[in-house]
Amino acid sequence: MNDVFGTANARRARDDVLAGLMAVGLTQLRGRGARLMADDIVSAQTADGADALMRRIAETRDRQAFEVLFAYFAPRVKSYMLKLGANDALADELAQETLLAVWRKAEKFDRAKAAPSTWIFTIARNLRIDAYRKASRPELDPNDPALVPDPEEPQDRRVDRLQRAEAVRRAMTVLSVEQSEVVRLSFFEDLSHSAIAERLDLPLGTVKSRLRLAFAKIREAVGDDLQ
Amino acid sequence: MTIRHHFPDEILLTYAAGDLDDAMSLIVASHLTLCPTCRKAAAIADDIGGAMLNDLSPVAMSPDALAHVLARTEQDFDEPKQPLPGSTVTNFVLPDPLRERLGGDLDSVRWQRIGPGVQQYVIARRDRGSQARLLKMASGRRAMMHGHTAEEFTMVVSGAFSDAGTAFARGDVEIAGCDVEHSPVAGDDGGCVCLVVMAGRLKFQSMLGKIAQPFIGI
Repeated sequence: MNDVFGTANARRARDDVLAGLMAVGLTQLRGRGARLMADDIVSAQTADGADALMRRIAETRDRQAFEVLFAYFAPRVKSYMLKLGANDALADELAQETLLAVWRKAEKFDRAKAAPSTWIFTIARNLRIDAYRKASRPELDPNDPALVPDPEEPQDRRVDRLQRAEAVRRAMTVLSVEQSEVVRLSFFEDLSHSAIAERLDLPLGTVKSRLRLAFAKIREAVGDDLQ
Repeated sequence: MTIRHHFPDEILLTYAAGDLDDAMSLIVASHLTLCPTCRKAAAIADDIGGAMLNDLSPVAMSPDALAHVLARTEQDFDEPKQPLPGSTVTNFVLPDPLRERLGGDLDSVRWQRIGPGVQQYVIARRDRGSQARLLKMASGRRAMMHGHTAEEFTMVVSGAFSDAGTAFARGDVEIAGCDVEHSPVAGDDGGCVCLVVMAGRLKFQSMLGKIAQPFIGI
């Protein structure tokens, strides 16, 4: 408990980072003259840290910032793809495509709308869907002239998107075992509600209500429980 | 104009997870365009995905992965297509996900007449997953009484309809479960156009409906 990181979470983050460093190949990074320290990559795991990296990429096309972001996120996106049934080669390729899209779309990243981890997740999710289906996923276009704009949020209710992402992350840890199980099955097993019901041998209504309760708990945690 | 009939949270969550099929994703994305309330919930559902991605155990990338990506960052790439210069139309009726699928706005839809005062256009057949179609009903027109073999989602694109005393306007979504038999009526003022997504098949009560069913592709 007394190491520099203090908490079990932070220790785990450090272990993950070291694994992440191994994953991208330290020698390769040294070869490019990058001085990547584990602590740099630790910075990518917080919303603020990842956001600072995104700024550097968007504003100055900073390759070193990109390498840090890559070292942290690519092995996680690959993990996500593997969980959803891709083989190793495809998972690797989709993780590469995801991070390439991060580089290319960096200027379009809108921190007023989402945290970097959220944005990277949506890119990975959409690439996965597009890889498995012929048509690309129907997506909301935030610049659509037909879009009905958001109402003005009162100043005191405005939640910073980076803070919101961190709050959601914290809230995930207080879900009940049953609730986090259905959320995990939705995100990582590509299962419809009825498929989850079958897997867990539960009535469909129970699956839906667990998802609803889990979501309500998370929305409450981020102060969006007014509905 | 405030939307009163929304998608339930568990569907928004499943949309964020990427588990909805094409037709369901189409209707959810269309609704999100018109509904700031659900858009906010969907953004939080995306945050859940981001949080889960953050907390996954990393898996080693192939040794040359970063080099590959860095090499490709040096290449030019095609910008996603921009709207044609000169196309300054901004008063679209259909949300972008639908326009994208149809290749145009509502005025470009090639309707197929399926009954008096009722026309449809099938967007996605149901060989895989759910079926999506646009349905256009003339003023005051009543749909044949029908049930469903699975949930049916109907979103108003323009105009209005009512069903058993409940009114639905642009952006509103009616969800009819398997146990529901209904017969919605188009508004008196210009009828309505709806996006209808259905996982199962319609069950018509009347003989006429049963005979027509194989021919109208529903």
